[in-house]
Amino acid sequence: MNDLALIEETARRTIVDALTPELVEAATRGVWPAAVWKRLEGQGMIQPAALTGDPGEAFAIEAALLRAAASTAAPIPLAEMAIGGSLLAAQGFEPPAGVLTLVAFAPGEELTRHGERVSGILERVPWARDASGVVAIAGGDLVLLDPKSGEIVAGSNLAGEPRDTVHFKAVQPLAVGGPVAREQIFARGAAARAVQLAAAATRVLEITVEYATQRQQFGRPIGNFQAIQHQLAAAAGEVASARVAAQQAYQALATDEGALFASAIAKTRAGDAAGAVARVGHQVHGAIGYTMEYQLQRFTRRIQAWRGEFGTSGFWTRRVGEMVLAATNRSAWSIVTSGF
Amino acid sequence: MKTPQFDVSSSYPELEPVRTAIREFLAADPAMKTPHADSWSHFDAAFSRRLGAAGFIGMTWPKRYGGGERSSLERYVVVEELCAAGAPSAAHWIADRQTGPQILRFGTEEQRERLLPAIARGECYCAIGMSEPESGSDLASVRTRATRDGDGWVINGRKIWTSYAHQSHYLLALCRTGTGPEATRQQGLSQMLIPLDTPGISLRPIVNMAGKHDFNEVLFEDVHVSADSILGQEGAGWSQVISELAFERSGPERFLSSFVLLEAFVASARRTPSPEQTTLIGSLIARLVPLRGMSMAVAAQLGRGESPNFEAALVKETGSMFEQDIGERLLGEIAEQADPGSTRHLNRLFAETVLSAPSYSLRGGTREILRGIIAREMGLR
Repeated sequence: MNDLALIEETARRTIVDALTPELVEAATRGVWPAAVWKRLEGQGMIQPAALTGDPGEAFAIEAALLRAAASTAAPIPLAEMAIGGSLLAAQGFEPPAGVLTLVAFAPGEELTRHGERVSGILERVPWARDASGVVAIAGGDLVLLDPKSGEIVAGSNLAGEPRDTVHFKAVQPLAVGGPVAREQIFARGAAARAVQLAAAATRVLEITVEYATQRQQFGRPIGNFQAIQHQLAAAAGEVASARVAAQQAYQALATDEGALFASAIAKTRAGDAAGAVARVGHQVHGAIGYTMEYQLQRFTRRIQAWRGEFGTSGFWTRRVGEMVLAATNRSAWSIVTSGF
Repeated sequence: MKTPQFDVSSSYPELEPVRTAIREFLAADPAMKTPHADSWSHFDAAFSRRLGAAGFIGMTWPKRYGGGERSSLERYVVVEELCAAGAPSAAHWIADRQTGPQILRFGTEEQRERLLPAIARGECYCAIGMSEPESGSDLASVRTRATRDGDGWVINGRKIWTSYAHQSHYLLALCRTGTGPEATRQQGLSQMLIPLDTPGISLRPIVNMAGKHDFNEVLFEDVHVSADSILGQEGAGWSQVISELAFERSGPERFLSSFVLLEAFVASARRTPSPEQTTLIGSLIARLVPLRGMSMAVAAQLGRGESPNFEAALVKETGSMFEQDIGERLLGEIAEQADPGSTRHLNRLFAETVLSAPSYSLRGGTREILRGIIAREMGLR
C-alpha cells in the first residue's frame, strides 16, 4: 500500500469508527458530528497541505481525503475546508480555529464592499451555522467572514447537509485579501465535487453488487440474472470514467496545467456518471434501497445534491464546448491529447 | 467487489518525439487528402508500405525481427494518431495488432524470421479466423477441423466475417485438432497460420451495409498445409486465442473510430457555433478525455506484462458506446446531410460513421459478451 492509499484508508477507518448510527441520524436533522471532526482534526486530516511540504502532493492527499469522506458519506465540509484553507494560505492568512467553509465562487456570487465593511447575501453556504469562518469574494477580493456576524437562515441540501443562507449588513471581515481568479476557484470546487461524486458512485456500485450476490429470488441470487448483470456492468463503466476524470483533474491541479479544462470535464463526467449509477443502484435494490434505514440513500442523496453544486454538468459541458470552439488555431485532437 | 485500477498519468513527455514524428508523417502522406471514419477498416496497401518503411509497424518487436524495440505506449501514440487522423490502416492493422504479437509470443524461430520482418515492412497482411457460421459469440463451438496428414495438416470447414481475407496473405484460424473425446469444448483446439493462396481455399465476398466489400466467408475443402502451419502448441488454441483477444479490447480504435467526424464537425461549427453545437461538442469531448486516460492506463499495464482484463473490458464497453454516440448525437442535432459520395469531408465522414457504427459494438466481442466479462470480474457470475 502506498502512502496515499494508506492516508485514504486511515481516514476512512477513522470516519467509520467515529460516525455512529446515532450521529448519522442526527446529521440528517442538521446536527454537527463534532466527534468525527475532532478525530480527523486530531490526526491532521483536515488540512491536506499540513501533511506535506510539496504543493503537488497536497492535491493528491486532498483527493485521497475527499474519497475517504465521500465513500463513508461523512457529513462534514472537508472539501470546503481544504479549498478555503489553501485560498487563505495563498494570501498569507492563517485559517481561523474551528470549521472553515466557503462559497462556490459561482458567476455573480459576490458581496459588496464599502471601505472595510462588507454587505450582501451568501446563499447555500455549507455548514455556515457550525463554521467560524466563511471564505467569499467581495469587490473582487478574497474575504474571510465570521458567519455569526451575519444573520443565518438555515437550509439543507437533498442529503440533509446544512446549506445556510447568510445575510451580512456592513460587517467587519475577519480578513481582507487581494484579488482572486473567480473561475479557477469555482473549477477547483467542481474538481473536488467530482472526486466526491466518483467516490460515492464507487460505493453505490460496491453496495449494489454485494446486495445482488446475496439477495435471492426465484431460487438464486438476483446477480445471476443477465438483466441485472448488464445494468451493473454499464454502471461499472460509468464509475471507471468518473474516477479517471476526477483523477485527471487533480493531476492538472497538482501540475497547474490545464486545470480549468480538466476540472470542467471532471464535474461534467462525474456528475452524469454518478447520476446513472445511482439510478442503477436503486433499481437493483428494489424497495429496501428506498428506505431511510438502509445505507444506499446516504450515498445517492449526496450524489444528487453534489451534482448541482459548483456548477452543473450542463454548465461545465457548455464551458468545455466553448473552450474547444474558441481555440480556433488548434485541432480538437490536439486539445484532447495536450489539454489547455 | 474488485475495483478496476486505472493508474492515470497526466503527461508523458517521453512520448512527444514519436507523436511529432507520426504527425509529420501523416501531414505529408498523400493518403491523408481523404481521411476516413472507421479508418482502420479502410484498406490501402500503398499507405501501409509507406508506414512500415517509416518504422511505424511492429514498433515494439525486437529489431532482429524488423521491429523498433519501442515501448508499448509509443506504439499507442502512433495507433491513436492514425485513428484520430482517419488514416487508411486496415491492410497492416490485424497483423500489427495481434497476429504479429501472437507469432512473436507463440511462434517458432523460423515463423518469426519468415513473417515478422515482412509484416513490419507493411507488406504482409493477416486476417482473423475465429467466427464461423454457427459460432459467433460462442467461440468455443468452432467446428473447422485440422487433421494430421503425413507431415502436414488437412483443413476442412468454414470461417466467416473475415475482414480483408481477399487482400491478406495469412489467416490465423482457430481449428479443432483434438482426436479423442475432449472433456470440454475448449480443449482440442489449435491455432493454424494458413497462407490464403493455398489450393482448396475459396472466398465468398459479403458486402456490408455501407456497400463495402470488407467481410468474406472463407471455405476450406481438403486444404493441405505444411507441418509448420501450426502456431504454438497443439491443443493450446483456446488459451492462445484468449491472449490474442486481449490485444483487441482496449486500444484507441475502440473509441476513436468516428473521431474524425467530430473533428470535422468542430471545424465547421467554429464559425458561428449555436448553443446546441457548443453543448454537443462539450459533452462528447468530456467523455473522450477520461476514456482516453483509461485506455492509456491499460496500455501501460499491458506494457508491464500485466493482464488488466477487467479494465480492458471497461474501455471497450464505454468506448464503443462513445464512438457510436458521435454519429447518433449528430444525427439528432444537425441538419447536415450525410452523403457517402460527397466531396465535402463533413458530409462524407458523417455517412461513413453512421453506416459503420452498428459494427462498433459487435466486433472484438459484442457489448453483451463484454458486459458478461465485466459482471464476472465483479463477482456476479
